[in-house]
Amino acid sequence: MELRIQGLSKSYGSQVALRDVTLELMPGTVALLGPNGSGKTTLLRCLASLLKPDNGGLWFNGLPYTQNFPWLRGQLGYVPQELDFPHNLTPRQLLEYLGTLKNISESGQVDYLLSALGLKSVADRPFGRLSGGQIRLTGIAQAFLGKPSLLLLDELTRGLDVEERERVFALARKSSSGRLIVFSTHDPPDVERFTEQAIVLQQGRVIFSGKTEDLHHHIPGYHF
Amino acid sequence: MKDAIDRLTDGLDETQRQALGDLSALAYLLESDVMPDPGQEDVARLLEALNPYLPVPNAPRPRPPSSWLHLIRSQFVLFESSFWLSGALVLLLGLFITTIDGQELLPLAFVLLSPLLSAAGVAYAFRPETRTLGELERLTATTTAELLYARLALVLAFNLLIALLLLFLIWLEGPQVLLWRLVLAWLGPMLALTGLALFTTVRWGSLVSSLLPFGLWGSMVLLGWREALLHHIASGMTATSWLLIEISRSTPVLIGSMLACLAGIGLLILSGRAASCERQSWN
Repeated sequence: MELRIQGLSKSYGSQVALRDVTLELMPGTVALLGPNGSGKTTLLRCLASLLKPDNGGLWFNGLPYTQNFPWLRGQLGYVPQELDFPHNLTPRQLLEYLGTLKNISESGQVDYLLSALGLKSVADRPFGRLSGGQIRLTGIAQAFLGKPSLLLLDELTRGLDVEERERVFALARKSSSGRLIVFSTHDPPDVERFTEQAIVLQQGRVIFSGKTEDLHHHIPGYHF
Repeated sequence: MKDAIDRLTDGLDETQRQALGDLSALAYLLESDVMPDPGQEDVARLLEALNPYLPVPNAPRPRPPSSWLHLIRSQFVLFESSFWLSGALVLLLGLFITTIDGQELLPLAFVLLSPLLSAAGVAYAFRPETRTLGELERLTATTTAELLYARLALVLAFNLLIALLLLFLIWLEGPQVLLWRLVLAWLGPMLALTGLALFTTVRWGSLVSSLLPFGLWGSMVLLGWREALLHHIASGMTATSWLLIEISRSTPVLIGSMLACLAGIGLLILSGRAASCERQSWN
């Protein structure tokens, strides 16, 4: 399960979001770091095939994105930065609904994810009556449905308290074997505890890609 | 021949070679056997055997009819109770109108309100709070066009149910119009407005899909009513009676309804294609 990114560029009008990004990611957990507006979300949306890059190519497991959409969709789990679900839906209904669309026949996955992320008690409560953290946890739970091999998690721990973060990391650790998990974050402690690989973006360029322990040698200000 | 036997017994010691006995017949058979090049049929068979292990090509596979029902049923959870209640309110309004002057008002209310209900249903089904969900839906095995049609089927089925009940009421009242012409005068605008609402949703989002179909239909109703009032002044006939006669007898209204039906179907098909193109534009 390798992800190859070759010369990826993306602009919104005159504003350049990604500049010639080239990376090769192997199974494991990778943290995507960088200040606001550095291109993290754009990169994750391109990797999730939700955004078309202006230039460059993407290959997952040796197969180009452009020719393998239906197959690729079956391999992907994605958490968007902003989560706003229909207010009448409940976490259980959302997971069951997306499970149906993903053709997941294995029963018990929904219950397992609700339980692993501590959502059991609010599983049947509408989103309109849930906290921001509970909505984000549901968003994270849906990404794990179908056991995807590529997980793209934008601002993974945004709005989560310490306990909720623990649950998310525990689930991700359990599920990380043989998978590639790429998550963006603004919290260096998350990176330190959760991953050994990091990518740092600045103004759309990759300024660091490697082991987290080497990060502070290359970029002053990143200390763990 | 000796070379062939040597190759067969390569790595064996003398005792092992002797234990195998005379291998010349076997060596001759292997030497004389020529492996043929695979023909087209062999290649095709091999590819067929490998097919389950290869990635699925981009062209989506057609969905079997039974799973369409499953998909449509799955969409129920996205509709709040207020959606179903609004339909029930339209029915109640129909019942109320029959108590005032059912013979004239109900058929008109049916033709005027039903397309609005359907377009509103489409705008509701793709309301802004489904945007995040829409992104997640795009990352599933179900295509955008399939989802679009499944959700639309639910809206149309509900609208059809209400329309049938209203038609039954009209029939009970003793129709002043030809029922089939009335149905056509309802179906045309309903399909056209629904198609327009769906197409604008796919292309420009829910705000345009809320404003354009309603604005268009409102303008047409106002123009029709103005025409009816002018006839009312000229002939002494009530405006509603004149409009009902137009629905029953006018060839332009008949042709217009048919064209609206075709335009609606065309827009629905275009919406599905636009949704698929948007998904595949990444290519």
